[in-house]
This record gives sequence, structure tokens and C-alpha cells, in this order.
Amino acid sequence: MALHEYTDEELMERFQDGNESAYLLIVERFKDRLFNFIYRFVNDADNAEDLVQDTLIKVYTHRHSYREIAKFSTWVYTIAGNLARTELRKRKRRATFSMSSLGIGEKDYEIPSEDESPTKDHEEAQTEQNVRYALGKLPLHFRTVIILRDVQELSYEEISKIMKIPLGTVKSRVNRARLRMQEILKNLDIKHGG
Amino acid sequence: MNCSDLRSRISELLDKETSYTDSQKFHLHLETCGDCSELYAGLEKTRITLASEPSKSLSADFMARLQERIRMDLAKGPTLWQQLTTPKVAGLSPMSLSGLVAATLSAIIIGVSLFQSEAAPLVAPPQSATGQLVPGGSAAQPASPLSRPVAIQSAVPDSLKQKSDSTRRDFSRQIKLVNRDRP
Repeated sequence: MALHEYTDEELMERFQDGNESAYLLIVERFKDRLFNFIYRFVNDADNAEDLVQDTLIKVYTHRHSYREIAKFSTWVYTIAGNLARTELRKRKRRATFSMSSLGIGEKDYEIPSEDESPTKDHEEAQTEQNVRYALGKLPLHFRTVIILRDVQELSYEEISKIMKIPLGTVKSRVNRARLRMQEILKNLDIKHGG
Repeated sequence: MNCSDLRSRISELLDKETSYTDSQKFHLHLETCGDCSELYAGLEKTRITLASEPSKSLSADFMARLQERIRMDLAKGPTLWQQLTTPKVAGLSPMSLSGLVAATLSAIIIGVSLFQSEAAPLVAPPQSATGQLVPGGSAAQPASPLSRPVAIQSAVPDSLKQKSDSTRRDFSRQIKLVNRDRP
């Protein structure tokens, strides 16, 4: 069987046995998904890319910590989520000691402008910008479930394992987070006179 | 079904996790309530936007930089924790390694406690019926469970025994001085 036909868990097993090509294939499969995941957290492409690298290096160096009892994606998202949250906490600490903290709490979450994207339909670009802003305004525990559920489209069971919280809590938290996000978007529309 | 009922379970509807009967009730409410209908449409739009790819993507040299970082990481060598948790360290599993570490620590703790018991006896100095300390009276006392076994005592080097004897002599001298000063 060719390497690309293996599941993520089987690839990880090959990698644990010393097959470096299996690792490269894992990287290929996950790098864009992880970037998308982390970027939604930190809202900074360069920072997100560094964190994707950190995640994949941890997969490399801690490969023997992974046990096949868990899905590989659960394990890798847990690593990435922890790194992203640590980064946000660091930013918050830095902001506390800087004058810029008197303005917006977190970097890059500015009120979306009316700039037109040359590659996208104006309305679509505006919606994307607003959604990114609203996501950035959510408290971290709400933001995490929204990213895992609506960006990564993971199952509630998987989110429960990644976040180490009961399934019922995940469902109610997703519901509350989605409603909170709609409130933010509604207020944004009012602000822009929409 | 009212607005509050729908809002508390609107994610179920969005995720298509409701039963057929509940779904009918939800949709009936949506048809009659403008606010909830607007909310549901907003939630759907947001979810579609979130699921779409971000406009930015990884840089072209991402893989090259990752490989370089891994190469540098390997050059640094494994950390102590990695050495302990990696199964193939010296052909031992992490469990056997942790067992070895535990055994070594136990041996060190036992060794240190034995040495300390040589230098300062674990049993309190014997006392007379009047509550006075009896100098050098240990021979008259019954064997204490905390007394050291003879085999261990014989294994103690002569230099340590001499040190221990001199400690006892100092201790006896101090007790004599204390008794002499009492009224």
C-alpha cells in the first residue's frame, strides 16, 4: 500500500518507527488546516505561520508521546490550540504593560473598514471582515469552540476531547457563542448604519 | 415553541441535529417570527463565511523553514524529558526507566537517612523515673524498634563509628554539665 493511502494514525505509526516520509505526508495533510485554525485565533498570518511550525515541530519531537487510542487530529489540534492560547495570553500580558493597551486589547482586531478587496466581491469581503472582527471580540472559550466547530468543522465529540469538557457543555457553549457572535455583528451593522 | 425555546436550541437546528418533530416546530416558529428568522439567516451566513478558507495562505518557503528548524532542533539533541519518555533510550522502555530512577532515589534516601541516624540517634536519650536524663544509660534500656540492626552497624566504616562515638561522648558531657548546674 502506498504511503498516501494510509490514515493519519497509520502514518503516525510509520513515523514512530522512523519513517520520515510519513512525517512529511502528515505535514502536507495538516499544514493548511492548522494555519486556518491558528490564524482565526491570532488574526496575524506571520504569527500563525510560526505557530503552525511550532505545532509541527512538537509533532516531530514528541512523536512517541502520541498513542493510537486518540485520533491524530484530536492530538494535533490540542497542541495547536494550546500554543495559540499561550500566544494570546502572552499578547495580553504585553498589552498590559504597553501604552497601546489603552486602545484595543488585542492586536489587529480593528473595526472593519469599507476597503474593497480587488479579488473578492465587495459584499463577501465585507462579510468576511466583519465575521473576523466578531470572532476576535469573543471571549477565548467561545472563540475556541467556534473555530473548532465552524471553521474546522469538527464533531462535538472531538471538540469535547480536545477541550476536555463534557459533550453537553460543548453543545451549549457553541450555541451561546454563536448567539453572542450574532449580537456583535448586529451592533456592527448598527454602527455602520446598515 | 417560543423565541426563547428556539434560541436555546438554535444550534441544533443549524447543525441538523434535531428530530423531525422538533424540526417542524422550529420551522413553524421561524415562519411566523421575523426576529428569529433573521437570527437564523445570520447564523447560517456566518457559518458559511467561517468555513471558507482565509484569504491569506502559508508562505512558499514554509516547508524549507520547517525542515531547517527540525534540523536545528535535532542538532541540539534531545532534552532530559525526551530522553526519559522516548521508548528506545538505552533499549529501555519509559516504564523501566522510571522504575530505575525510583529505585535509585529510594537507595539514596535510605542511605542518607542511615547516615543521619548514625550521626544523631533516632531514639530520645533515656530518662530516669524522676524525669532526669540518664547519661550514657542506653545499655540499660530495652531494645527499641527504631534501634539500628547490628548488621547495618557492622557495615558502617570505622571512621564513621569513631565520629559517632565522639558525638555520644560530647552529648554525655553536655548532659553532665546540665545536671551539675541544676539546683
